[in-house]
Amino acid sequence: MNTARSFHDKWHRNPDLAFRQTLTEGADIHDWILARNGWDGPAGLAEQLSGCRRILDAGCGNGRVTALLARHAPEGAEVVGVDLTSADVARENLAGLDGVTIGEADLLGDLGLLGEFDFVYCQEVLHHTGDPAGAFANLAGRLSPGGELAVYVYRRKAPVREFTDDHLRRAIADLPYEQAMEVCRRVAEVGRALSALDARITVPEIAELGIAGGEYDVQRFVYHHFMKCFWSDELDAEGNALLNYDWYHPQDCTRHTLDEVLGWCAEAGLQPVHRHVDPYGITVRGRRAA
Amino acid sequence: MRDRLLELLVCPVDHGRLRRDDGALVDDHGHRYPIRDGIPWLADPGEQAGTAETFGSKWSLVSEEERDRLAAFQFEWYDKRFGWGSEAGLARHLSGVERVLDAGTGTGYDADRYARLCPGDVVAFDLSESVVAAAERWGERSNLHFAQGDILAPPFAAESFDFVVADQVIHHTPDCARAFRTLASLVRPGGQISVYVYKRKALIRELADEHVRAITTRMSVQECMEFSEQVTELGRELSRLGGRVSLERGVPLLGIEPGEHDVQRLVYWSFLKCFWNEDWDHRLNVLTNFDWYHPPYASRHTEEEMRGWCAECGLDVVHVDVVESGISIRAAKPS
Repeated sequence: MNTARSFHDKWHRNPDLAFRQTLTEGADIHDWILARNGWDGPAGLAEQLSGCRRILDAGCGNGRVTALLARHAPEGAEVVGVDLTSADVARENLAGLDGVTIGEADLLGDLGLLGEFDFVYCQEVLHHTGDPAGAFANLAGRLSPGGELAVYVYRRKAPVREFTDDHLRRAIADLPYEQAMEVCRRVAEVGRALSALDARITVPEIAELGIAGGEYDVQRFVYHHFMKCFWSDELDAEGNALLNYDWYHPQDCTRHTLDEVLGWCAEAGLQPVHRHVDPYGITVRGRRAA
Repeated sequence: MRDRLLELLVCPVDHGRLRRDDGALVDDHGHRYPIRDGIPWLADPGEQAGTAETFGSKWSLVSEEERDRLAAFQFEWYDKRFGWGSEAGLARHLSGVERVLDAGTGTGYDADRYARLCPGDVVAFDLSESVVAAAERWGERSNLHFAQGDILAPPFAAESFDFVVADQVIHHTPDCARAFRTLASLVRPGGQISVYVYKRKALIRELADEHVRAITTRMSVQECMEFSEQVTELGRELSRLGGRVSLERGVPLLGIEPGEHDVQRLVYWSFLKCFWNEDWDHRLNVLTNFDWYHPPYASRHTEEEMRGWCAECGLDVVHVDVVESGISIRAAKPS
């Protein structure tokens, strides 16, 4: 079970990863979560959650988004975070936060015991389950009438980028954590070096390579079209390596299209109320009929 | 067509002698090969029609001025990678040579140079229409002959050349190893063969090539030229940055070495062929990419593989030069 081991290692060895950045207004990660969900700043998220009595963060990892949801949840709401491999990490991180409960759960298992929720959030998790459509349906089944499910899954990338993804993922799948991280440090170094150029290029559309014409930062260009080599100056070198590890190590790592996700919504009887596609992934919010 | 060439030619099917007959060459078994514009036409491109089309079109799109410039660059590179040092080294070798075959002669520049440096006869041989342009350009030289035909079914007797060259050619045949063996069989004992083929690249670059070429080799010449324009523009943009990235450790799994890399070169060798050379004009850059993406066959090889071919043909390797783009090998057939 490489995928479970991947995430167990990731969160147990790095319990604070991206925690502060998720909760800090103005930080890339915080703003990215709000923007792609169509929430106009923290107030937009608070508005989304207003009237919710029960909120679920499905696949909460170290609990960073659970904490964000708890911050903007209405008074008296119950925020539940569940994770298959790292519930203990989230529990520790969120200890003392009122109204937050953390539990262990498999998104492909029976979630009936969790009860119903007015809002279910599931970021960067479905694509690691091996059966994203099944897990999506399972979560949709937990919605109360009128409730909403917000998911984010990886998007299928440009063909050469997909080749690199598959190759590196296969190559490091069976490596112990430290060796896999060593590969990811090297990958991050490419990202750092390209970012340091701080240079922009203007390229034509090349449909055969999935390249849309336009202006790109050169690191972003390589990142989207040839090789994920994550680098952000907001994180330290190890944190950057980890973000790459997070991408390359889990064997269950499917990539999807917007049509696919909309199909999951239709199948589960959810009405899509928001959709957002960026170069990395697909965000969709679907609402159950009231 | 000169009689000296006729002496060298045999029927590519059953290797019988050929004779002139009413504007054609015939043998005793009913085979007939037309002579067009003074050039014997000894092969129907058949399954290699696409290869003939690609290179026929390519060369027709390059002006004579561009070709001259390209040739100057190619000669210098040739002398270095085949271990001649300079033209003087090549000239010394050719001074004692009676017959030279330039297989896949293209525009004929190399063949013309051999003919200039060599007292014997040189045959400029190609599958594509380019041989017509070569004959128009270089036809004056009395020891230089032109013939159209297929390297895999050559119209020459075994062991009839002192020096056989296929420079940047046989990776465009359907079976590179067979092309090598076939050409090696034409070398006389004591003679030499020089071959350059594409080198196998980093894994992702290979996968990208397979993916893109599966699309682009099916394109018309014009469609592929448009694609090549786009890729060239990408190469130009990446080069324009002049950006250098310094990697302490590199990523061996992707064939990325530690050290300093130009961004365009890094992308080029590890991920995607997007050629750009600032010193060449735009069109020649586009054609260089076209040259990669359009030919139906473009196999990539390793040094071990090529040494294996030499061993199999009983050849002694005289010189090997390996660069990222390709491998040049010169080998001798023992006397």
